[in-house]
Amino acid sequence: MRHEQKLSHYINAARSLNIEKYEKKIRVALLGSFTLNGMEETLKVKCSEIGVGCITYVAGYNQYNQEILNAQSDLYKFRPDIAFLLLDTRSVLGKIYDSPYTASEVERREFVEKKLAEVSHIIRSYVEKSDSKMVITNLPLPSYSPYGIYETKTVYGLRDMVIDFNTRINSMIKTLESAYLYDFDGFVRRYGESNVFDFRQFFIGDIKVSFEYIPHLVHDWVGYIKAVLGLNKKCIVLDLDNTLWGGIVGEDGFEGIRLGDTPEGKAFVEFQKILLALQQRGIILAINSKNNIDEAIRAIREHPNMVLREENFSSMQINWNDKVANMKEIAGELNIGLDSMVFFDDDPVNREYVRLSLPQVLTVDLSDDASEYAQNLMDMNDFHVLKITEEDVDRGKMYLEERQRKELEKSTTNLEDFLKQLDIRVLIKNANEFTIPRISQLTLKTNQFNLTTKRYQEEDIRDLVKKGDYWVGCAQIEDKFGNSGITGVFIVKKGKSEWSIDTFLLSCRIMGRKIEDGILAHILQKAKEGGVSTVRGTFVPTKKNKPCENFLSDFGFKKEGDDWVYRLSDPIKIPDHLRCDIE
Amino acid sequence: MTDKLYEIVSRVFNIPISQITDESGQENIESWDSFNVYVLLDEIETTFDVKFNLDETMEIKKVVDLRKLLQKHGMN
Repeated sequence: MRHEQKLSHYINAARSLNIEKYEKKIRVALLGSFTLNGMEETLKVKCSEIGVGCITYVAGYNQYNQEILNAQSDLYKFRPDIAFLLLDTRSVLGKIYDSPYTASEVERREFVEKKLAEVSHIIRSYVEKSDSKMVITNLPLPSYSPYGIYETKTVYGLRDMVIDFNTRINSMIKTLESAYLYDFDGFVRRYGESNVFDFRQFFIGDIKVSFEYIPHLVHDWVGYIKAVLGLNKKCIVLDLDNTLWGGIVGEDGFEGIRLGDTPEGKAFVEFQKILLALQQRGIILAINSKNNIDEAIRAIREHPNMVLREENFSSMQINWNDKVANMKEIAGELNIGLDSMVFFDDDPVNREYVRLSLPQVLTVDLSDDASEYAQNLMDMNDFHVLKITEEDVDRGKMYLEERQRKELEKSTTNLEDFLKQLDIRVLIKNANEFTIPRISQLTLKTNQFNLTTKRYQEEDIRDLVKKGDYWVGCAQIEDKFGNSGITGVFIVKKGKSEWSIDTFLLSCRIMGRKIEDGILAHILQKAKEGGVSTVRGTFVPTKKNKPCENFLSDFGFKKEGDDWVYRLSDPIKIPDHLRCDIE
Repeated sequence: MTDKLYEIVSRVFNIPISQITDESGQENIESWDSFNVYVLLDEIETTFDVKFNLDETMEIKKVVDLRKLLQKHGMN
């Protein structure tokens, strides 16, 4: 089981917290059908540990209904960023929990319908009345039934009621953008009903999550807070010897490392399986290991029981360099921040060194026992995101392609040859229901190659499209190594004699391939076809967008006041290293 | 045992250990409410590896009650 501090530790630590000193803050409302004592304090302390000042509002005991339904309540005055609503089976089912079988099957079905309607109404009201996210729990499935072994033979008995409620509340949540379901039942399964629920504490204070388990529960909630604040981790950096396999390949040899077959070897295989599944959903894997590259690579490529192979690693620093230098190298190669990296190493000395030198990196306290590695990884709350997109799933593949591109770049003598050999294809698409979410996402998060850094929510983009005089488009980029997906966005305001570029951006993933020239040439051509005489652009400098500072002037735009203007009577130079198609 | 007990009480209620006596309890510790008493109990039970029953826990009004309970469970 994951190591946790006692509840009293959190209660004590909460007393001396100074929430004001944290730059990042989050406002959290806690609502529940039972006592939430201790949860608030634990949450505040756990947030402070990740540098977040947590401001809380705890609704009165079992007051969630009134608080949510009344638009004037203190809950809404508090203006939460996120609200947790905790429900427990006993409170929600009430009398029917104690005596499920005095009611008929029909009555039990009606009861669940009624409760579903009530709870759905509460969730909908909250989502409508506030801009906040809501996390609601499902109901823990009770293990006891007065029907005993006959319970599972009973049509729509207590067990079926809870399962039905949970399934349908979850379906309903899926239809709401800002509501999430916390699997409270899963939490109780993980730690055990007879541990989480302590009768003595229940009798004393209506406590339905016993003291020992409150910190574990709050640990799960912090996962949501990390996701909301974008503090989630994107990359796992791994040592090799005694981390991905047992033993030291340089000493024990290819045949000597322990991986699969033996009980000890199975522990490493299990750990790798969990890592692989994370990689498949978009977490980047990298290696940071002191080893002879030939021996290590041979094990990765050829060992029959390796689960992770070369193609699963987006960066491999296998050398005798310093581990900290390697970490920085990986961050640079992948173009991600050190603060989005996690480091796994069996050696406590290495861990301490990385932790002290690079406090931004999350260095995991691995167990001494490799059989716990898989659990250590599964216990982490650092990889959650509010939405998993197609781009996330393909991310690992994209980094692999990027590595192949870099290898080609090294083998060609000049940039022009390299770009020509890439066989770049730019597919221009207009904004539509399929592309709008991605267009919005790119305007929200692109900082480097972004001329104006205007941020647009999905709704804003839809409004622009509706206006009619805006051309909102995006570019999907492919080359011989693979498809980078939609990675460019442009928004052009179309006037009678002049078009102006409202937004022009490229994801950092495809920078340096002169793709911007292809997209801009396409816009200019379209303008010319439309009988327009000039295209106007602006560069709005920010701390981060230096990479596109000279883009307009290099292309041939002429300075005019604060803007840059292209006369369409001038010839448009069309780059010859790429092909531009229109969907 | 007494030292350890005082130390836990001091920690849970956030009061200097020098101010803890057998008579410390609901009458003179402001934060001594039912919730904090159970946080305290949870600590004591884990530290001393004992488990009090519900009746025993209901008797706890001050530190000396805890000391007696621990003695009853064989702690000295």
